[in-house]
Amino acid sequence: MDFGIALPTAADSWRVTKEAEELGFTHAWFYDTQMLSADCFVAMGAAAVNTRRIRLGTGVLVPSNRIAPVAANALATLNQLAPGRIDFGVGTGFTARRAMGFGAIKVKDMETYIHQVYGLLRRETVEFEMEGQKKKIRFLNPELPLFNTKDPDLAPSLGLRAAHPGADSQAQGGLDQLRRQCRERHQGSRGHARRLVESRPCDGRSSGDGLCARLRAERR
Amino acid sequence: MGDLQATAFALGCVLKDGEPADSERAMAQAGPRAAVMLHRAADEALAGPAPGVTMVSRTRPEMQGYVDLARDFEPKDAPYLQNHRGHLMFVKPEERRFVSAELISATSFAASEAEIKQRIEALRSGGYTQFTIQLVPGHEHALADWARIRKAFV
Repeated sequence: MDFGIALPTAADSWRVTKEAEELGFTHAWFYDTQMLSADCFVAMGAAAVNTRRIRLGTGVLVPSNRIAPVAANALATLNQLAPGRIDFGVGTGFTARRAMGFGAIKVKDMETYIHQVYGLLRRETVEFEMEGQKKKIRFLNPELPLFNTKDPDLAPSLGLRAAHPGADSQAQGGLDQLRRQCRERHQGSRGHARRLVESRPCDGRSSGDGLCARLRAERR
Repeated sequence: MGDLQATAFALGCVLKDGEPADSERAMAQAGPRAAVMLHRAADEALAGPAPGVTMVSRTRPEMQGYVDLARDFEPKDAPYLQNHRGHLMFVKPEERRFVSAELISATSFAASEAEIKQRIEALRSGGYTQFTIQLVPGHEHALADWARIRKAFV
């Protein structure tokens, strides 16, 4: 069982992240909630240069708040600082968007976004829509050592299964469902799911609000 | 399907012997998770639930009490500004009376060290591969408590 920490991001979150690393925690997840906490990528950059082993992840990034090329660029930039230690956590915005009065985005839109981000990280040309226009985009100078999309491969084949935030099944039941979906639709690939767990996780009560998809931005 | 990794995300507080779930410390470390239920209930009451997203959140008297309070949040065209202040970070003074020990216990890992270990073991046996504890601003020192819990699973 790995243990991680999650942080309402602060500019100096690297301090507690470094301490967590020294205490054996394997992951640090940084909130990406713009109206509530500090910028996760700035804080993760500081954590990247001040730690050696702990994995650093967005926890979670919300597609509407960072367009896909910006998110892909930030992940690749972090991967230059901490190769192979970056996780791309993504959700529909139950916190970040609600703090601005918006509801969560559609899971399908999140999936499109993930494909765009991962496509860019695979150095592919992807179709991207902005201001009502669809354009082909890709990183134009990925061979330069400005950021890192190669060490290791940041975008393995998708193991994503995004469970609906409104799922009201038991924690275990929900997990079993995720496993089935992942097996059926992405056999052989890796996925990572998160559920916000209430106090007695296996007694039939679950909040459902914290379930989101998370992609491991590394190949193990 | 051994490739799917699953993280259980929680707030909590490792309670000392006899310490109630709404002690000052527990209120600070785990209370923000309980308050999330209040915020959601108010969102639903004031803006309506999102289609397809059904939350069972107004089944407790604390939540209804908070919803009644939230109807007076200002500005009227943006009550979410007050509703979500402190979300997952601190309990707002005006919502504290609704964040009961029972609600904290029901929504977080605020419990004795032994009980927390039992719950995490239940998660592990259920297939979870990671337990992530959220730390609240100003209580980062709670990391030491959770490091002690972690050691039991090494």
